[in-house]
Amino acid sequence: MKRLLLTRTKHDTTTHYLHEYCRELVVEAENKGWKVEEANSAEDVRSRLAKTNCELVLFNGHGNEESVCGRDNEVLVNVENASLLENKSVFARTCASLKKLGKEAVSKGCLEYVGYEGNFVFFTINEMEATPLKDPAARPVLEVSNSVALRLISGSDAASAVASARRKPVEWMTKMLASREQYATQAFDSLLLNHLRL
Amino acid sequence: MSFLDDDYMKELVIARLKTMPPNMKLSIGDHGSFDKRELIRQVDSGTALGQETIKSQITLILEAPNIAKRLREP
Repeated sequence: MKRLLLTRTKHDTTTHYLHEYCRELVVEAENKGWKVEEANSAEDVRSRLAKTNCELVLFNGHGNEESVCGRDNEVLVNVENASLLENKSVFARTCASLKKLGKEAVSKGCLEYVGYEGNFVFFTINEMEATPLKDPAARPVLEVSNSVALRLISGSDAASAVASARRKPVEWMTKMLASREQYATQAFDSLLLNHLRL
Repeated sequence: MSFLDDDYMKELVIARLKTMPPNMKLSIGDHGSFDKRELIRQVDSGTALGQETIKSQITLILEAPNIAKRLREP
């Protein structure tokens, strides 16, 4: 059975939103026959990466150029232990990790590494923070980034997944440009910034 | 003040940030979530986050005309 390792936490607003948007990914992965394993501590994540044969890894949380993080910003994988990602496809929905960690991981045998070259950003509406899935300001960016993971889950390669995610903002940007909603400008801005950084 | 010098860009970015609704925040990775008042303060103070915000806003201004072309790329 194909194994998928998912990391997600909800220790702040950003990670709470990512956590909720991962629900769709878990459901779709299970529907597609993946065994989904979740972990968010460094010890657990590193152990699973080293010992289980997970083919696909989805990081959701904070990060920087050299690392991706889990619960309370504990470093899960960084440039020094990037070999843990050998023979795996990775999508890191974190800030900036593509730049150094992604490159190092690929040099150490990671099959594919999709991530962002700068900060992954999105806007939130204060009144909606308790229900992230209902927040219309965040929805465009998080749906677009979910589309990357969904493509990988369905068996696409990284190039196809990224190409699809680059097409997906079209509809959202068009909607936001025509929208009179207060959040439209900010949603558009975050769509464009993340589009440039993927 | 000449076009695109630091002070001009700061003023331009602050003007853009002022249009942000007061009940919204920008989530920027592990930097945290910031409302417009805090973003403006960061920009005005010249912090690392403020400089990053300026860079992002200028990117948006410069890239906006290229949107149609980028969206048509395969």
